[in-house]
Amino acid sequence: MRLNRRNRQIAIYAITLGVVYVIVGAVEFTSGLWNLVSPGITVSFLGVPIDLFGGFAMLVMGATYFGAVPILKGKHGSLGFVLIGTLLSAIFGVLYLLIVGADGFGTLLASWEGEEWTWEWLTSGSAGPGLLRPEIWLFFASLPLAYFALRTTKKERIQ
Amino acid sequence: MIIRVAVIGNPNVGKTLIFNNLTGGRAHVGNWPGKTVEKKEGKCLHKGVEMQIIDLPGTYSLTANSIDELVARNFIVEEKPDVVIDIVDASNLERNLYLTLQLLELEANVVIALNKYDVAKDLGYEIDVKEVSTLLGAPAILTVATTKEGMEELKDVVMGAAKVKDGKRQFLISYGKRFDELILRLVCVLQKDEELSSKYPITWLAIKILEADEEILKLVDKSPCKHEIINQLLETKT
Amino acid sequence: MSEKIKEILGEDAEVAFAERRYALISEILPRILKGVRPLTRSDLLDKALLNKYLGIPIFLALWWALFRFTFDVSAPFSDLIRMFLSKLGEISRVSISNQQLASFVADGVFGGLGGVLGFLPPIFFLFLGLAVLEDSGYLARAAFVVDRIMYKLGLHGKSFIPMLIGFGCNIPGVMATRTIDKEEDRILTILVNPLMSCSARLPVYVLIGSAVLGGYAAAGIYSMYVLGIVLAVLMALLFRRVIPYFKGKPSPFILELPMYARPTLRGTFSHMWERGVLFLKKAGTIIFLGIIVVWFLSSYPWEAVHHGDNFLLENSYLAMLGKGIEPIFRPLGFNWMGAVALFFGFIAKEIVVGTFATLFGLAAGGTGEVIPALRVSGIFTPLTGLAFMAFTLIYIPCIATIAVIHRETASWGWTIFAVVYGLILAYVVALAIVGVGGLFGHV
Repeated sequence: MRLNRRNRQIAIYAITLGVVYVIVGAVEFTSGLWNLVSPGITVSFLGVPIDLFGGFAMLVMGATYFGAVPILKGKHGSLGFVLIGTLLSAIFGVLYLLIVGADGFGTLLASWEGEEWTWEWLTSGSAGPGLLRPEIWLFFASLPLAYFALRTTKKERIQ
Repeated sequence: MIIRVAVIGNPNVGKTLIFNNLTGGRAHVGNWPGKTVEKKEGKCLHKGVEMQIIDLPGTYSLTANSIDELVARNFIVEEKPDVVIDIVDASNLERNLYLTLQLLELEANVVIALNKYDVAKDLGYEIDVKEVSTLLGAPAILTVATTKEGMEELKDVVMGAAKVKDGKRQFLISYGKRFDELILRLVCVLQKDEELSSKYPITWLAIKILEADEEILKLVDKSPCKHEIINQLLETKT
Repeated sequence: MSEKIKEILGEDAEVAFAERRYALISEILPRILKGVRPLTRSDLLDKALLNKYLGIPIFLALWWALFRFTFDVSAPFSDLIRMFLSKLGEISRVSISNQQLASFVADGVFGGLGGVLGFLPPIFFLFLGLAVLEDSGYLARAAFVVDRIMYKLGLHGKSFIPMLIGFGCNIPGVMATRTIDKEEDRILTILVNPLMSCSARLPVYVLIGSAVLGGYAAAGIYSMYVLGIVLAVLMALLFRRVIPYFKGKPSPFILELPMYARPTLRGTFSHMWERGVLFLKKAGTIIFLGIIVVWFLSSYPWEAVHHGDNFLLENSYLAMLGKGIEPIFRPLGFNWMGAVALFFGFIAKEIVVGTFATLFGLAAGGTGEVIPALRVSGIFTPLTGLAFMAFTLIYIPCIATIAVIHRETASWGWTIFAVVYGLILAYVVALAIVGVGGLFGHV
């Protein structure tokens, strides 16, 4: 069935994303944990932000994407996991974008107060590496997935 | 002759709408004596017969856990209405039938209104109304309260049910060998208490005792049969 | 007598009966019902959100997003407000001739009250986020998912909604417990409700977090909320085990899940506005009153405090009060200013912030903004700051909440209990934070 093939592709896409989320999330989480336990030591792998709860959130998103595995066995009901996964990706992606924006706004305010204007806020600020933050890129990567998943679940009342 | 009809059902099944359809929207609102729960009463005139309609609180079951449930339960047991209309959400049968079973065990004279039938149909369901009546031993009607579909048939059925009130067969659920035996024993004991057995359905009492229903236990505590009941239970423990 | 029966038959005869009834329904159902209900998108979403394993982690993740949003995105707006108000403060100090009045307006009004108003943005952002979660239908799912665990831990499932409301303000949270039928369940929920971090405590977290927690500010704030939930559950468990009145299992409850809906822009904003406006009203009344009191106590005796060109805070009534209660708090690492701020927080939690703002405003001659001032003063280290936040979370509900607790429990006994256990627990937890952190090498 045509429906089936599209769903398989969706599932594989989702699981791949899930793997990336879990890996990056694990790094964020453990570096955050390390940092908490031994203060003063900041370990950062390849520019991945150190973020205990952010890492946790990524692990959750990865796990959610893994929920798509049953689709490969034909259980289309598991598309729900893909929907929620992409929703979460979007929420966090937009969140970090907003934070970068807020940092920019803050820099603007500081410049009114007499401080120098810089573009630093684009790559370093409250959201860690700013626009380089993995969650933002993964959000963009999840957009096509979201589109396909929404299309599939729209008209068909899935059995 | 006035027929006293109680209306009961889960919350959000359309009970208020059906109550209004029956009473023409004119209701007398007050409180249940001594409680903060609202009581609605109205009248319905159908084919020359007057029906007094009482709206019972919407509940999911009839345990002793909340005031709403107790009010509804006590009314049925103490006032013994001629008919109890159980309004069931046809699109949510599984959950709604739980209350129906409890009503049947309470030996109420039940008429089942399978409401929101339009919603059920939209969802792709088909309900075998005859089977419902056969299996549950109570007449059942399909209704759509929003379009008043089924209202006249409902009134007819209610009137018919009122006439056969005392000739009904008991609806018995088997709870497994152990409990069924216990229930029988308790029934034997309870029959000796005239006061209790004349007021309440005995089998139902026995079941409530086994469920450790707080309100029923308070009653039984005052009964002369109390110790015998406990003995019966202790006997089966071994 | 019910005890005896339960003893003879085993605890869960009632459950066995219910199960048998449901089994019967399952047998009957296929014979009366034909046709299958197709899965809707709502069902699909629920598959993940209500999932046994993922449900709660997703909830925690969303909560984290909410806090990042509340804190980090609102930060520049707070800066904006503070910049504006401190400018007004400076102007008024210069232009009002009467020294006492000038101090009152510049330090009390613009410094103190203004300091509190600077925390308006996080509150609005928080309510905005909560409104989105509520209007979309998600919160009901969260309640359902959390209920599973709560039931096992001895809290009634219907407790979660009042607790969620408690996140906005404990007062409607306590009142929402009216939906709980059993009195014991209800009182238990009321007792632990104040542990839900209300929006009044948020300014305190933001203040301390921004001042001393640096990049971990959002994390620190988030952990306060989580800490509140964890403590609420632990206390409920504890009370159920230890206090005879609460013994016994809570009754299970049925929750109807609303359909998912896309939250409308207007609806969400109006919800946010409603709740934010409440904060503003409170600010204009109680908080303002509290700040006046603080300003007064810290400015008088006037001559002793305003000696020559110096501002000698140590000579004020406030300092006398603070130094008096300081010893109690020393093991926790709070100094007299923290002590006195907590003292006035009894009136309304925001006054903790207002107190600091007034004090630093006065000391720094009105130009200092409270966050950097707090940071520079070195009163709190990251560890003691965290402990202070925890103390604020737990210690006692504000006076308005205490009044509502009294009204809803109709008992002085429970009300006093609520206050006392809060104080004790707060002290213990703050001490634990300082102690455990010390073990890890934090200061």
